[in-house]
Amino acid sequence: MLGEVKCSGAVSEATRELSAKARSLADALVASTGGRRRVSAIMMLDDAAAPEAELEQIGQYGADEVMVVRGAGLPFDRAKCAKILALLTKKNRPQILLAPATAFGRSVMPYAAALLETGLTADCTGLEIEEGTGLLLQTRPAIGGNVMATIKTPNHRPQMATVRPRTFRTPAPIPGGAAKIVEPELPDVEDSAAASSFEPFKAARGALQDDDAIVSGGKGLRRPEGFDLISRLADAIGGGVGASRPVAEMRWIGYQHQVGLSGQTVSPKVYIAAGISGSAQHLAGMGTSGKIISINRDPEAPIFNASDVALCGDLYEIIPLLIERIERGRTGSR
Amino acid sequence: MNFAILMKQVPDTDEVKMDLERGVMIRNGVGGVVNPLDLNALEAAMRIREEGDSVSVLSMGPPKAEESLRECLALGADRAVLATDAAFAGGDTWATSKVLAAMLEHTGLPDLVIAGEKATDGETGQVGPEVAAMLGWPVATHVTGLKRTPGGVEVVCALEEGILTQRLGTPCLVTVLSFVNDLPLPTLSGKKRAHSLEVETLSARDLGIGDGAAGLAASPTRVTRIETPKIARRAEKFMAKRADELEAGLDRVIEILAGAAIL
Repeated sequence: MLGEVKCSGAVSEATRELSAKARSLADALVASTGGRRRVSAIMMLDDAAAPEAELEQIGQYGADEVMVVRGAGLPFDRAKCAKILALLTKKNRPQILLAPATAFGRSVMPYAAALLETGLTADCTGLEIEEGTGLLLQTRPAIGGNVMATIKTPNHRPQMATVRPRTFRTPAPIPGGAAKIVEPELPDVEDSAAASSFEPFKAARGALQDDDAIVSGGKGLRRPEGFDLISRLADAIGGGVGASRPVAEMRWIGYQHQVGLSGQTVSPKVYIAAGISGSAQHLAGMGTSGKIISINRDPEAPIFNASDVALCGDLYEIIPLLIERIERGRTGSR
Repeated sequence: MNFAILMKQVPDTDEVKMDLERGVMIRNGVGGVVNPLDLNALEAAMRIREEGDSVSVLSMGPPKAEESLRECLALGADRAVLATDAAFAGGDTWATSKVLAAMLEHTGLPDLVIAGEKATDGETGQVGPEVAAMLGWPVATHVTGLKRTPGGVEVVCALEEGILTQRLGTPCLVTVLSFVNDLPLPTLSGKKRAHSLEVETLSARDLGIGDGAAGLAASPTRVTRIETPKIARRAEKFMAKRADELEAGLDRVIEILAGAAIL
């Protein structure tokens, strides 16, 4: 599996999720076809990123070893990462190669798959080993999230898939587990891109995927300024701000806020959808959230069928009342 | 600098109807349009092209994809090429990329290939990087800004945690998000121009692609099962018009937030 670090240099949650998933697939393969199976996490790192101790800890989630490749600006040079990944894959000949379906994984994996002349399934939400054949069953939302397609790569190796972050929950760490750090020998691979700058979004705020609570707005906001109200509710509960595809495409808010098949997959403890009708592609991006609360004027809105709590009414009336109640509760408890 | 745009014709609706019995898409009566992000890709080239540059649009698809190529001509492309052959049908991203890479070689390699980040029907976003790999070119995805530089391009990419600006030397391939530009409206003069231009077509044989080397037969992946997802939850519904239900609904939300340790 191909792991990833955050811009802070820390190992990403998606890396731990994938490591655990890779372990369970390896164990299922052993059960199905016998033999021994090794889980390697490949990390393409900028010179300064991820101290060794943190890399070893990926072992607490099931990886046997961590292959570390370092270089200045390496993760941003997608073609170079893919060429290195293809070299390591040819040498180690894994059965399965997984990566997070992030901007990094979505660019490096297809490039590497083409170099390796094998198949790749994008944005998987389910991975299992087929009994008997030991093949990887790769399930992904297709046709805008209207159906789930299960895909196999019968005759080409490795079987490659990118996995939506937050699809598989990270299990509890295995106490004392430490992966072996390996620095593979590689021929020189040319640089293909030069990063000029990287500007993180608000320093205090991480990625939407890491938020425990998300408040999202859609067309039902009726005007871009509606996101002021969405942000106030998000601030009141210490959560992130999400958006549906139509409003992100109308530029009411930045792409990094877009939730759904064409944006980010999220799975917070609580997801509040305000003025979002609930297209299949949106539901595919947040359907695994802990609790889903929706606010919509349309009593027939499809989002209500995917919700735990449905508030049918005008969000401009309901949300201020909700904020007031949250703030009142806070003062009361002091 | 010469440009090539990779274009896919996609169904003209977001709300594709499913045949639930057979688990397949109902294609009858569904029209075809240019994948919206591919229009952004074309417009990105139109904005940075200079005198003497050429912009070609390449597509693999059924014969009716010609209409969509003509639309690209109306929007300013100089040349439109369609690879169409029964042998291409059912190809996965690898098999499709193989045809597109062969088309680029056949029609004369450009300096910059621009494609939409993903198509609205497949939503994989894999074809761009796969074509780049087959040509051995640098690639940038999630592009929201594009500028010419001496010897290449500078791209702005919207990543999860921030904005990356990087330089790639040409030849290279980039895939763009809708945020890269606003789409122009078709003009009458453009439509007239499109009528005066031919859409060239290429077969598997023209591209030197042999039997079994394209389409489903050459695809490493196979779809083995289609299911309708069940994400149904049983919502407690509160009608905000009724003051008592509104109160009860707000109480329930507070309870959930507190239960999840968010408050």
